[in-house]
Formats: sequence, C-alpha cells, structure tokens
Amino acid sequence: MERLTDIIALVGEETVRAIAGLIGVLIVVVVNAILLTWAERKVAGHMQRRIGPKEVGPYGLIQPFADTFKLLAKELLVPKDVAKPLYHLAPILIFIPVLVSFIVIPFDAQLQVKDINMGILVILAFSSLSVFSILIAGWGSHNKYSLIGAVRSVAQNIAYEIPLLLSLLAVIFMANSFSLKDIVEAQKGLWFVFYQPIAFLIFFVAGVAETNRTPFDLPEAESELVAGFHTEYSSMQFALFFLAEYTNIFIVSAIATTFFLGGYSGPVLPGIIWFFVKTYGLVFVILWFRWTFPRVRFDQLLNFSWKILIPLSFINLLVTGGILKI
Amino acid sequence: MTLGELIFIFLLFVTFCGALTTVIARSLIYALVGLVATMFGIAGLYIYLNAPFIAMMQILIYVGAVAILIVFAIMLAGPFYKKPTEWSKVTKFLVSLIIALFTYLLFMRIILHSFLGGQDTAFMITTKDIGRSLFDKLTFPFELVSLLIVVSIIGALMLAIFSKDRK
Amino acid sequence: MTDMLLYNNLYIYLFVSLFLLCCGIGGLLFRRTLIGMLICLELIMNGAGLNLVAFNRFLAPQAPYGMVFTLFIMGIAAAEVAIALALIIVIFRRFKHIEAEELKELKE
Repeated sequence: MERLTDIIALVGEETVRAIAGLIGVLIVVVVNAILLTWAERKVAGHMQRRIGPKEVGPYGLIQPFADTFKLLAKELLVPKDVAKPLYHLAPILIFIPVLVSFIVIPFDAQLQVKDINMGILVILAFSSLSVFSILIAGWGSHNKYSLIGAVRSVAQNIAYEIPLLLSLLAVIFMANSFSLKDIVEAQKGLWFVFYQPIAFLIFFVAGVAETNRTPFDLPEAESELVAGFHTEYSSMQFALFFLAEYTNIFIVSAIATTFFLGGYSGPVLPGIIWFFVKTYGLVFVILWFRWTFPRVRFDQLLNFSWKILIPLSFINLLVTGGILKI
Repeated sequence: MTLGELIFIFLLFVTFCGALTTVIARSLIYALVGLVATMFGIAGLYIYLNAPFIAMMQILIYVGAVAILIVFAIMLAGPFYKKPTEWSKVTKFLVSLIIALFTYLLFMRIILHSFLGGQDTAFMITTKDIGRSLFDKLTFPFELVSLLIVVSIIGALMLAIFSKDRK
Repeated sequence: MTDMLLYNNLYIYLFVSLFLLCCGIGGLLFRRTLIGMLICLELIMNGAGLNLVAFNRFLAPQAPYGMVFTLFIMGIAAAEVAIALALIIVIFRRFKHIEAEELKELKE
C-alpha cells in the first residue's frame, strides 16, 4: 500500500487519475461492445418471435466472442486502387470522437475521468470529426457505392446535428453551465425530462439518426448499397467501424441520461448502477426501434430534419429562454 | 522539458505539417486533410492560450462545417479529368524563396524588436464574459454578422437555383 | 520562472500565425484551381484568428475582445466559403472546369 502512495506522490494525482480513467474507459467500451452484440441478436430474435443464438454457451452469451474471433481471423483485404493514406486513416479517425466523449461523461459523482468546463462542447465538437472520417472512408475506397453511401451518410449526419445541438442548448439554458457534472447536479429537484419533454424527444430522434440506426439507416442498409461506406473494409478495420457504431449508441444514450434523466442520481443503490440502468434502458429502446419501424426514404428523412425538427427546436429554445428570463 | 512543453511542440509540429501539406499536395483531397490537421493543431494552440471555448468552436465550425462543405464541392466540381497547368518547379522554388525572405525580414527584424515581451497572467476569460460582451458592447457587429450570414445563404441558394435551367 | 516556458511567450504564436499566412499566400499563388485557392484562403484566416487570440491573452487579458473577434472571423469565413462554393459550382456548370487561368472571357 505504501508503494501505491509513493507512486501517486511521484507522478502526481492527476496523472494516476487520468491513467485509471483511460483503463476504465477501455474496459467499458469493450464490455459494451460485447454486450450490445449479444443483446442485438437476442432482442431481434425475441421481437421476431424466435429465440436468438442459443447454442454457444448458456443463452448464447459466448456468441459475441465467437463472432469476434471469426472477424479477426479473416484476411485483411486491401483493394488495389485505394488511396492508401486515406483508406487506412479512416477507421482510426472514426474512433477518436468516441473515446474523447467518454472522458467527460459522469458515471458517478466521483467517477468522471475529467470534469472539463465545456464538457458538452467537447463531445459535440468531436462528433463532427466522425463525419469527416466517413467522407474519407468513402472517398479512399475508390468505389462508387462507397462514395454514394458516404455522401448520403454525411448529408444525414449534418442535417440531424443541428436539432441535436439546439435541444441540448435548451437544457444548458436551464442548468447555466456547459459542464456535464453541473447539469446532473442541477437535476436534484426534478429531472429535466419533465421540464423539456419536446427537447428530449428531439434529442433522442436526432441521436438515433446520428448513429445511423434504423429507421435512419439508409446509408448502410444491406439491401440498398451493399454496405455503404464500409464496403471495402475487411476484418479488423470493419470491426473498428462496427465498434465505433455500437459505442456511439451507448454515448447517445449516456448523454440523454445525463441531460434529461438525472444522470447518476437515484434513491437507494449507488449512482453508477442507476446510470447504467437508465443508459441501457435507452439502448434497449434504440434496439427496439430497429425491428419496429420501417426504413425512412432519404428525402423524407432530410425533409423531416430541415422542415420539422429544426423549427420545433428553435421554438422550444425561444419558449425556454422566454420562460427563464421573464 | 515539461510534459506541457512536449505536447505544445507536438501541436506545433501538427500545425506546420498540415500547412505544408495544404500547399504542396497534388490532389485536392490531401490538401483538405492537411487543412483539417492544421485546424486541429490551431485548436490545441488556442487551449494553451487560455481560450478553450474558442478551441471547441474552431473544431465545431471549421472541421464540422467548412471542411465538409469543401469536400462536397470537390466531389461536385473537382478537377479530375483535366489536370491544371501549374508553374514549373523552378518558379515554385523561387517564389517560395521570396516568401521565406519576406517572413524572415518581417519576423526577425520588425516583430522581435517591437513588443515588450509577454505578460504572464493567469487570467481566465469565461464563456459568460464572451457572451456578455457579445450582447453588451459588440452588439452591432454581432447583428451585422448575422445579416451577412443570411445574405450569403440567400445568395448561395439563388446562384444554385438560377444556374440550373441552362439545359 | 514560468516566463521561460515555450508557450508563455508571445513570439511563438506570432511566428506560427505568420507561417500560416505565408503558407496561405504561397498556396494561393501555387494552386491553379479555384477550390485549391479557397483552401489556402482558409489557412490565412486561421492564422489571423490565432494572432488575435494571442494578442488578447498576452497584451490585453482583461477583456475578451480578441476572442470575440475570432468568433466573428469564423462566422465570416463560413459565410464566405458558402458563397465562394456556390460561385464555383456555377462556374463549373458553365465552363466545365475550374482552372483560374482559362477563365478569361467575360461573355460567350
């Protein structure tokens, strides 16, 4: 024990906290990916009145490991005419916003890697980097279908980024701070979902569209464009895109929990259990959407964002500002 | 060499390499990747200048909007079938030499002897101050910029719509 | 003592913004397509913004005017890129290329 305090005194408490936080973040990312892979197939199966995978391990719990081993053992196939720097850079770039977002999310009152003063701005700024990496992936693949899928995905992403920002801005008005911990602390009385139900709905719909999930998954639908912008990627790089998408689902749910559902606050159990219960509840709703709604046509999708969601979030913002300051 | 200085040198390196890539790269997409790298480097430098809000706004606005707009324009109107005639290598070298000479004269002779050194205060300007000054003393430029953005949106729309019926 | 650190000096930021300005000017001269020139113009604007924030932090740290003007520069740059790209697309539709050298005629 003295060696531990010696090391902490030598390196500085901030560094130890940062390293421990990063290890924790990596564990959460990996466990979340495994859990979501299993849960997706099980939930899909039960919603279609069949059982999902049940052979490999009890209730199919070892199935994600089997899937991962199969995926990693595949050959890393690089087509001939790709633009090599761009092609290899894209899967790495798409993972950076996800990891950065984990740094500011408060899992519990003390379990936050670093409480940055502009927490939500960090998350929003870096989520625009993932849009750029989708474009690079589509361009570098030297494939018409990849390019079309990438352009569609980017058009959808930038269209739904605006209602996302505006609905979060209404909550920031109420809590008076950008930092995520202050926003959770400001919900000690009543959760923000009761003050701002419209903002919650807008944020949730825009978040589902941002992560390219059904009903907004035209860019990567299997019957439409082969597989969209990650057509030409195999084995480890495809696993990275896949991992980034599932972790994005977790992050969107985590932000919705922090902003609208009270974060880690709850009556009896420790905060972190409440956080995971609420977040995985929203993740289950997103998984539920996939097998309930049909896919939206692309022009309907863009119309919905530009003509309905943006005016609605502006009106919400005006009403919030008016009520708060008058 | 503290850790802060090492990270600062890394950010300077990223900015320089990005700027050079933007100028030298042959294909336009590589120039854009260089521009994005430069913007990230500058955002890091803004954090060292006690301006975290400006750093995040830089990434949001430039990387999130302007860079993507330029990529769309490259895809729609890019120079793919006709290689542009650029200057020869000798001309480029001479022009670079003239620009480097200009930089040297400007920096070493004029700038280094002009200012009385830097003031080292630990003053943190909060977002609240920026917002307050935007609506207090600088309301007029703020409204003008919003008018400018509306005018540019309308202009871009008119240009795009009215040039279409040439078929 | 903290004045000896590399990043607490005004001159390094002035040098970086001057470097960006000169790379932008060089790029404007070297690139022959309109979009290439636009990309280098963005470099120049970034350099100007860095200059303003550096002066704000070192010579006038009480007021946020440098940062606010950098925000204005970002807004103006975004609006200008939008119009410039609309113009470039119109030129492409008319002339089928965007080389600056060949755009010599005013009329048909």
